[in-house]
Amino acid sequence: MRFALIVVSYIVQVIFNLLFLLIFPLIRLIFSLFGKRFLEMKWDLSKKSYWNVRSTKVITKENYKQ
Amino acid sequence: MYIIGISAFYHDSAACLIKDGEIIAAAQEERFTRKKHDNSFPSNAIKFCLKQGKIKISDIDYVSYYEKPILKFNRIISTYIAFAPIGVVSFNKALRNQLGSRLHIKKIIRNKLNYDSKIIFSKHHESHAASAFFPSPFSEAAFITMDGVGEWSTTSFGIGKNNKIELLADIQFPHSLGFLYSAFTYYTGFRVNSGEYKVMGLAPYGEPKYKELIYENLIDVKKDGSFRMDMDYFNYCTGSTMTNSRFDILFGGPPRKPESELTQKEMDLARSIQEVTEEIVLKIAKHVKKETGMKYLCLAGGVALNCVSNGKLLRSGLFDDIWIQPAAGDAGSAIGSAMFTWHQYFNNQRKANNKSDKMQGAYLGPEFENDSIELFLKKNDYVYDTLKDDELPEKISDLIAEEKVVGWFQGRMEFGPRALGSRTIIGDARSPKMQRKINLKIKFRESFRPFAPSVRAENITDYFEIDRESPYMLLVADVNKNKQIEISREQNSFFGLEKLNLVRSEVPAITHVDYSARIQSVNKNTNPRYHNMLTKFNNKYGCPVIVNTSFNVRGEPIVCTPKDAYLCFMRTEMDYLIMGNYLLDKSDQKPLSGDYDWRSQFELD
Repeated sequence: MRFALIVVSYIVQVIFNLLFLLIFPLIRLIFSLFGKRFLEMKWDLSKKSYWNVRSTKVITKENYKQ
Repeated sequence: MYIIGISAFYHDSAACLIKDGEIIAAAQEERFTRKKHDNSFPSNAIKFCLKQGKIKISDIDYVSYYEKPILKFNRIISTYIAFAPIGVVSFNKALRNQLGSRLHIKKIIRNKLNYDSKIIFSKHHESHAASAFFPSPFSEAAFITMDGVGEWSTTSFGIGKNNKIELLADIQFPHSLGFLYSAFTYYTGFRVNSGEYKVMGLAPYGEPKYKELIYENLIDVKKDGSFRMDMDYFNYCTGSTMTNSRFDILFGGPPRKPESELTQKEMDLARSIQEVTEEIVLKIAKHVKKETGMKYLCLAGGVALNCVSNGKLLRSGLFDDIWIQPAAGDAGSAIGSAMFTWHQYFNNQRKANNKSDKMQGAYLGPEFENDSIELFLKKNDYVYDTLKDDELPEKISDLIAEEKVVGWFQGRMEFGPRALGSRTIIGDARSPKMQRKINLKIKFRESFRPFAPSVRAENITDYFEIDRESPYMLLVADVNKNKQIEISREQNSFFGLEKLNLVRSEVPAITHVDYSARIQSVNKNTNPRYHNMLTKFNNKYGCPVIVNTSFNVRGEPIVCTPKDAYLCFMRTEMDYLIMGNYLLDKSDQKPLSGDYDWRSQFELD
């Protein structure tokens, strides 16, 4: 039983590593084709400000339940 | 209505209890578990809060948690996707650290507390903002929050008015002033999330030689204080270090090894990042003033613990007054989240008189009455003298004047990282040898680190260039010119740590090498016993200033109980310990048996 658990934990780790090494770059590639970046990293010297002005959408009590 | 606020699972876990908007109790988990910056679920702190409030968990109406786990998870996964395939080791580590289980905070809270009522989640920077504004004295004010990272935000500002806060804008991960400072903390060989104040203390020994290099390569700062960092130099998104090899090349070598000798380079780096931080904070504050038009400013987030920067911001005169949450780091978010729930979520009114805050001097932790202290002393057969209330101030002042180092254990423990006269080690600020003695023989810490003064609030302007009280030791100002001692031209040319042992003022033990001091003003209303002792010391010896450092050794959380205090007293070269009305003389005590390896209990910070 203990041996089986160790094997399973290794298999899970391999699956997650494959997910990380194959799926994550693929997701990034697909999103970048549509101009979406997961993190905004580049300096933009032409910009006057990097502040993200918050939207004025109404926040309801539901927003705080999780 | 009772609300418990919780911050946990990053660093400095803490809990707070409020009743109808009033803070009843707050404490950090580390004080109970004796593990510095403990990030585990704050079960002990919650237990204390319930005991202090004389209630049971079933009496709690709401639990509020200081951040939103789903948004945080989203940020972490987005970061891995943005950098993949780089970061696989970090990803595996995150999985082992139960990354996914952090999504189930509700379940964790319910299980740990056996609690089945409602749970509210405020955002991380909302919690910081709430901790800055709601307990502040102001009825309306601007606020700025700056830290490493919350869910996505790393810096934000907004307006607080009566019982509402509104976030107007933010800067998002990975661009973070807190992480920029922490990167230099790491590179100069100190521990991230605890060594930042060492960098701040080291800065006056150096020159800002690397400032231009930082601006040219590491951070693009706009006129309005907003910024982006060049992530090619940093490793914190996906690695286990803060900086990478490009950073090493830029600054001419690898990071300093922890505990190795400090060189002029580290001092210059510290000075450079300190000045960059101050300049960015000032730019942000100018922008916030312009955008909000507010007279007052509130600050929170780890960067708000940079008291040198706070002092400069105050002296800039941009705002009529500033108020900083004394537990500005994540611990204070427990208070913020609870107050957010009371005021913002439930729309309960808030009273503010623009004079006094609601933090009760930050004395929100456990208290031990004389009875329980005496019981502890008797049970362990420790030798002590009992002092009457009116004898105590004079006796302690006499000991201080004799250059004795005294452990002061009185009243309710402080909430936040500073010792403010409840769990404090005190000494004579006039003594030229006091800084070295306390650093090396009592705190066992680096000799360059300065000590803070406690000063009677009535005398603050006599000794320091500041025109208001600084009750939470969060403002730095210079020692008054008329208290400074001129140093010779030759001494003035000293470099680095050569500067350390020069007598620079009438109170050399608390005067840093640039003549500055991190001031705590003591008010008779918030801490009458400490104030009485300072008054007696002033009346008898003509000085209202003493050395005040936290009651712990390096790497140890500040003491909480009489047992913690006694152990710390016995393990160091402290001369006396005053707990409640009981005075213990080191020379009367038997050595601790079987305690030779105590230093291995505490990981060096």
